[in-house]
Amino acid sequence: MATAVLDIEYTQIPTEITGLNRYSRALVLIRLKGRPVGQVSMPIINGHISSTNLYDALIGISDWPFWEYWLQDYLGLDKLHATSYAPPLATIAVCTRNRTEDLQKCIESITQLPDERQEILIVDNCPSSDATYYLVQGFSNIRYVREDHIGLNAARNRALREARHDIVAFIDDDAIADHQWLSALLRNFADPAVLCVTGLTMPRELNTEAQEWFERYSPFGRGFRRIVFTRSSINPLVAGRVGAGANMALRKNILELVGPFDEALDGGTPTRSGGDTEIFSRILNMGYRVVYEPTALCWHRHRRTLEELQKTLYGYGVGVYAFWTSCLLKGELSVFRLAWNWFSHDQLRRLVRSLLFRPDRFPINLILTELRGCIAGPFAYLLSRRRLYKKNRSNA
Amino acid sequence: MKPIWGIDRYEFLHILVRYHGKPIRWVYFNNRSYQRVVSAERLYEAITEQIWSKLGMALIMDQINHKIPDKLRLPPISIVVCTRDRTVQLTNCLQTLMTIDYPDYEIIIVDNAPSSEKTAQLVTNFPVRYVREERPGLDWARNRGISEARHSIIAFTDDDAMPDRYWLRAIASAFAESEAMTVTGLVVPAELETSAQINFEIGYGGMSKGFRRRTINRNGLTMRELLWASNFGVGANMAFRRELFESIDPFDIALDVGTPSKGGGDIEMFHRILAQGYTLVYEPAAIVWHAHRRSNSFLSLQVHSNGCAFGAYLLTCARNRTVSRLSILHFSISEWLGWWIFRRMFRPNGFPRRLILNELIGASLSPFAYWRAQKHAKKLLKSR
Amino acid sequence: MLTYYRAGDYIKKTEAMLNNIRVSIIIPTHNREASLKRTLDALCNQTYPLQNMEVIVVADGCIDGTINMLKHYPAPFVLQVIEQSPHGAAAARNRGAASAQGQILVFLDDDIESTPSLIEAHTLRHYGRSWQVVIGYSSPVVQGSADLFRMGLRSWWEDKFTSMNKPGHRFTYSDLCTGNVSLETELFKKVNGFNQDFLCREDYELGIRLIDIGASFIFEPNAIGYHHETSDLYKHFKRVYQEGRADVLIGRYHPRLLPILPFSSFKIPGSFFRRTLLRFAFKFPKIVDAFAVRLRTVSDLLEWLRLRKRWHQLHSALRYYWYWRGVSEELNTQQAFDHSLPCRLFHADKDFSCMEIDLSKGIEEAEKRLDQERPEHAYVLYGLHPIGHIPPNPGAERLSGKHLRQILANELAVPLLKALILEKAISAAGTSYQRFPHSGQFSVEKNAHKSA
Repeated sequence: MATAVLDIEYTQIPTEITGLNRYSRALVLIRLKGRPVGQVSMPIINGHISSTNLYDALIGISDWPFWEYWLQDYLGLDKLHATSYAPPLATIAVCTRNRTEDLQKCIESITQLPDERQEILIVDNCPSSDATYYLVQGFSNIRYVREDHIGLNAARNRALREARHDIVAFIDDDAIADHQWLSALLRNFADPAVLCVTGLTMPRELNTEAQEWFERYSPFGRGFRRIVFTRSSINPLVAGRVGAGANMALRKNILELVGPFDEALDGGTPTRSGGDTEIFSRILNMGYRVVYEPTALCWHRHRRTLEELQKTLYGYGVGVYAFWTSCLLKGELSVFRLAWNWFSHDQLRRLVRSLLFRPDRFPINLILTELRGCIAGPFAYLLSRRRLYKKNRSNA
Repeated sequence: MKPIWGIDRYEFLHILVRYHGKPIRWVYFNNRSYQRVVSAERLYEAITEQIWSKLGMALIMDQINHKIPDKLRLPPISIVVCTRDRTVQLTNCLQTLMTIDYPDYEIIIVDNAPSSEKTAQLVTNFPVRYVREERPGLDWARNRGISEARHSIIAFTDDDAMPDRYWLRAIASAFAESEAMTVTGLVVPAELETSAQINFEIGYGGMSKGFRRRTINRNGLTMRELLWASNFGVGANMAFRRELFESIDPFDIALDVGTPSKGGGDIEMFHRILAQGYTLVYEPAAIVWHAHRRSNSFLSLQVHSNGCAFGAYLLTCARNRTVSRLSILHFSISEWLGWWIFRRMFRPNGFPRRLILNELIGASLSPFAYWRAQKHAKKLLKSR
Repeated sequence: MLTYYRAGDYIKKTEAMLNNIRVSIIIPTHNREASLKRTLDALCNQTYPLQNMEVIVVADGCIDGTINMLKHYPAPFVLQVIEQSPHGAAAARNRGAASAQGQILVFLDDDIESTPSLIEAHTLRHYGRSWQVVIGYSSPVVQGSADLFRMGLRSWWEDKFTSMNKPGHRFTYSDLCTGNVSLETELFKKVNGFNQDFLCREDYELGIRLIDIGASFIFEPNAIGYHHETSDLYKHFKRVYQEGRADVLIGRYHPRLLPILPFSSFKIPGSFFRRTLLRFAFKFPKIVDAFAVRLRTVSDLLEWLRLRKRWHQLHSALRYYWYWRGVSEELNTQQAFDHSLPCRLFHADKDFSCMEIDLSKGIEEAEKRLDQERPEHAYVLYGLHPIGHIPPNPGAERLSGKHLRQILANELAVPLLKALILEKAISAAGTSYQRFPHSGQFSVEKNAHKSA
């Protein structure tokens, strides 16, 4: 049965939540004064959750993020920080391709954000119809740009070039932004060494089995503590830990400081993913900082069917190895050790658990799909680069 | 909070901290210098030092939880204590039961195949009902207790256990707040004087199942969790609604203390209740103080019996087909034998290896024990 | 980099310009012609009226084409060139300040390329306040390839400025970097300028004296200058050596600071190997020096192999070694060493002014009291429960109200929480919280639920 996704504010816990007969479990995001402090998974009995059940579950969230935010609130530090720093102006960019339904919900949530004089930019990447164009026309004050060079990273680069403001905040077209999303991202740019801020991505719905598996296999969330990543605190080759490209904000001048997104990577190219990891690692390598800010929350709709899930996991396998291949070509020999570590600690363990039918095991076809993706990764990267090279040559 | 006196014999203090009656956590206090008394300030210090975040959470929860009902319905409860030739412990138990703060309850002592009249004589001093069950077996006694009980909620405890003052209140509130059919509670050690008791409580895990209240239902459980029924509670502290026994079979008479299977009757009942879709609530505010076995030989016997009992329980589940037999088989090999016993052989974590070995021996003997118990039970049924 | 002006500053800006405050910019230089030219070019583009600026370049023993370049430099502002034989940067700055006509002195280094609003930002900060030391933001621009050392260096600079930018930062003497700092000429003369005995860390030493006299430090993030760091590993270790010597001198001139200087926490290492190594190093310094220099190639190798942790270990070991070589150079004999090590048991209450803060009466109340009394250290309590001690720091400014909240949130966070819990002063909803329409429970939008 499905899992309900709920969002509860600590100071306003409802007495009862009913109407959950479709669901057998609930994933509850807990907030304290609007800031997410933890999540809890609990069973649903007879279609409702009483407040006693909630209390029992909530009492387990006595971790440091909760107390840290509580103390900050008590001391009034949020207001203090707010007055001392005027955040910059931002452009919200959504790169999309043939997903008008999801995009509509996304745009609706973005237009309802509090006004901080942001501009909204939709980059339509090689669409097969004009549906997105007409959808955007239905909203006022949204810029529409069409990028015919296929590739998610190409779209992102276009967004960076087209943006009028200094910060570009990216969100996936199948995600919905939370109320404080933009302000949480922007306030972290006070430190000039920070080039990128990533946020927490929670699943919007966990109705199908595929979505539940995705959330368990490779969740987007990176915890509830704000972390500042520098080159000395994390190995740039495992930059996937700093966050996900589904929810990130970059400075516009990243094009000069670090360089554009690698257009041989990520969706739309044979490598399918890994474009965001690559830019994170490049930012870290150049000595800049990446901040993971869990208050910048967005809700992502995972793929609903198992076939799509397989394709996504395959894409992840390809993406990681493609990224490592790109590092290898720059002389980073330690990717071999990393690949071996990942395989032996993570993938092999999962495989063995699955073969032995241990509890909490992953379906074996998902694991094998990811492994197939890993094997295909390096070749995919080389293929993608050749295509890019040919295209550039023919354009020039 | 008041200072604690007379602790010069003790090196450590194991303190159960409660807030408004709800247990929060254990706090460990070090008395290496063998002082005679510890002051309230030092206690405060030690407590806040170790569990400040849980205390803070309890405070906040208290404030949010403003729907505290003033008039809690307190239905009458029957307490059933099954005993067999243990008058000393039973005296303690009865004395504690007299001090329970609850408006309406009755106590039934089920004397199980006694060898003498001592229990009957002891019981005349207390305002309790005495019932005698000649067929040996704890589950026979429990079933007799169920049939003798008059009220709608039946609470079980052991003869070597001492329930807390607010035990019944906690049980009543747990029943009132949910549609649970069963409520189990927290069992904490009454004393930790000997090394056997310390080993049992700290090395083995004791009988406590944690401090978080849980509502358990088949929906939220994986197969593995459902089979680890010993995580749901202990027979020394459990309560049922009477109407439950109209829809499911009573305690399995081939199990538990007094039969060759040496235990497992309580966990088998929990498992069956959940497997049939009812709800069980583990309420840590319902506290029972249990006197663990003092001597090491008893401890090894206990551990041996645990191994035997769990095996018998699994075989009973297989017989009843509450879950598929293949999953029970898989569970016994990978989870029970593999994870619980063998893994702890390699990493004992302070628990003596020979005791784990004892448990393993008990486990391996469990099929025979089960078979013998089944024969024994059939014989007893026939001779009714 | 962007500048964020606050609304009130615009008004002050025009008034300051109307008042015609003269600003003297002092740049000491030593054989860095190209860098100096870049600095001067940047100063030509200042938004501050150039007629109110004068730039004094003190050429400290320059033998390259610097003097020539300066003679032919077409400056739109008053440009004074002072030549002197090499006496060090401190002496150069003092000399420059002595011939300065302006009311505000701005010290810049020759590798700082200022943004057009640098002088203006400095001046605005001084306007209406006195005895202010304004520290500007020297944004590091690290030359050369992105190797571990340069990344570390840049990180170090950025961390410094980020912590200075935080609202409740307690400034210490080590926050003052003469690469980009401004203060009033009167104040500078009052403290008698830089101490010329110092070859490096003369800015820290000036900082100590400024704090002692009660000047207030402030960080101005809009006074941005790009600091073109040309340091490399070799120069870095040489500098660490000089820093060791400088620290000893600081200890001599300001014995109050001895407890907090790094070298005063020296301990004879426990292991036999290390002790022998130490003795060997002190007996035959030249040999070990040469060896240490060779070890740099090892560090390059480690970096090439991407063994970051080992590189960091080697790097810190070498730093440690060079620092102690500097210290031992100044303290030639064992007796001098023993004498200079302070008695660690300084009595906090006797030597430093102290205060007790009780938070149970409210944080604003505590802040007000701190602002009134400005103690050097404070004991913090909540009612009857002790929370902690804000220790005295001889090199840091005195405590004031603005420091309190940051300290409570960082160092004293856990004890504060414990005290609050003990006093049952915890509540979930301190202030009323507005539920935003879109946060929460949208995925159960079809379901009815009752709110508390």
